Amino acid sequence: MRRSVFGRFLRDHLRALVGWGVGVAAVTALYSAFWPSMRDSSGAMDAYLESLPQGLLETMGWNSLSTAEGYLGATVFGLLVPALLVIAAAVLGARAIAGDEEDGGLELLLAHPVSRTGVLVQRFAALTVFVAVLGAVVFGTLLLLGPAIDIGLPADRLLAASTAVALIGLVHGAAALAVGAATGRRALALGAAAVLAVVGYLGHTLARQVEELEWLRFASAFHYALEPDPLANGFDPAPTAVLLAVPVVLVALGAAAFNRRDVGV
Amino acid sequence: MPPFWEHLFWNPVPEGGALVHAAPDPVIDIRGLTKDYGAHRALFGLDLSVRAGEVFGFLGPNGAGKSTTIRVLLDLVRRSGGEVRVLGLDPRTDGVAIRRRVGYLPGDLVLTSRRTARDLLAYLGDLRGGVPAARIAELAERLDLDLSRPVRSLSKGNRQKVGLVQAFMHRPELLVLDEPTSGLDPLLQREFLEMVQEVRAEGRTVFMSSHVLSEVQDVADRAAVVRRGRLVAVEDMDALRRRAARRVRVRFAAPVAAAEFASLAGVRDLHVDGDTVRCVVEGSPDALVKQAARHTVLEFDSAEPDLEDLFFTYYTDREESGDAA
Repeated sequence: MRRSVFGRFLRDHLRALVGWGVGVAAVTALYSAFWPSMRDSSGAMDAYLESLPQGLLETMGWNSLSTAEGYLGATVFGLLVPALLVIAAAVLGARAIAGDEEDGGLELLLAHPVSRTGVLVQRFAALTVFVAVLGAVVFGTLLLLGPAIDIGLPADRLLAASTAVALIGLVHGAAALAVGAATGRRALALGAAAVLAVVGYLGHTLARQVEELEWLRFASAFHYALEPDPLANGFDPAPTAVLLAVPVVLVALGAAAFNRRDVGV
Repeated sequence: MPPFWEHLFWNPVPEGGALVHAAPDPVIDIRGLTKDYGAHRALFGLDLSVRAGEVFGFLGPNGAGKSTTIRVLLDLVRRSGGEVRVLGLDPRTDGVAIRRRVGYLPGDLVLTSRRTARDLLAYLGDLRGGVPAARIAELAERLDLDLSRPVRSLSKGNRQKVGLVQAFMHRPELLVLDEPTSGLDPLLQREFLEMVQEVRAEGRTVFMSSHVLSEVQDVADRAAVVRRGRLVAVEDMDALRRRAARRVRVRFAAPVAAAEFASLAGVRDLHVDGDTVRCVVEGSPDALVKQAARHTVLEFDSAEPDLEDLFFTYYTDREESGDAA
């Protein structure tokens, strides 16, 4: 089989994929493993939660730690796994064009009979596969651990939630890829993804409390992914479509800018 | 030199009656090329034409605009003004088609992959539709390159070899080589020059840059000098060589008179010290050799003509006197 830009990029980051996969699986397993003891002490937990300010509970999404979907939604899917996926995707997205260009490798590739758009699209496809594998690791871990820790959630809802966090990662990875392609600067690409993630996270959490910040949620991938509560409600096509469309638009904008600039200077 | 009639027998007019030498289009044609990086202007209206089948040296000090010009040819850098044609195509609109037919060696080749040179070269070959492993192995052997080592652990010289293999391996119509001999030891430089000569023998074209003339003088048919983003000169290397001065030292069996050599054509800086004559000869040493032959010659030394001095001093002077405009 002929080696392509897509296959090469994915193979070059296989080690990173395995590393992130292990990390994501470990975090997922660790948090969900606490579920049985959490449920057993749910009376005490609920009493404790009631003593906390209502605003904090809403902000952190700790409304119902006594149900499996509430607990997993607040821990596995609320912060740590999305954070890992955002970081993994943004690092890879920033590497894909800007990092390769700063390291000096992109010039040689673009001296071959490939188009810039082609390289960008193929590496975006590799990024998508990368993030999808990490999403599948979350899903697979919960599926395997589910019976042992008695989660009691159907597979399709676990899949919907895993897909949602993977899409959060993809949005931020695509942002890093697009900014990197437009500027050729890895630091800018990572910075843009970080700003988007922070604003997005605040838009999802804080904006629940502060009305003036409510508009932020429309710029938040976390909002589109987690607000429909996929663990409780399964797939919601409209926000999922938004999360799929945003990366495509970002990459299209990145390609337009990438095609207009000088490379490797 | 083959006899002048040889081509009558060995180069018959091809079927269909096409003329072999009917003024082929230039392989690289650059007119009025300008390039601005923001407020900084790197190229000021460069004109350059490289003919099919020639080896063209592109010379100039570092920062003169050589790499910028080369990157414009491959559409890595977009020109600000002027016209550029490579193999008859515009890099802005037909970049992929041009790059398919060109082999390129970057001036500053960086290889960061953990994979082996063999793996990287096979991948780059696949981007061009596949290059046989045997061809890669053959080039690697010529350049004494170990294909089984990870590329990022290679020394500068070995990385340069990987760059040369990927530029030559698909037998492109046009080779664009940015500082190809940097990092190569003298033995490999010679091997490289042989590879360039083979490319020319096959009728393919080589465009190579260097900041020193000596790296291209043995192989180039013509050379251009670029300085501060402007073309200063284009020279036929044979003509330059003919004009070049060489130092000569002759020792005779008996002392000779300075007057015998003083008025010979092309001889200057004459020093006669008993039986030894030292001088500088411009152009052909014919007159000196014939005069020397009247005596018994014990030793005859002639240093390589220093084209570098000639080339650069000549054009620096001209430029500074405002003649080159």
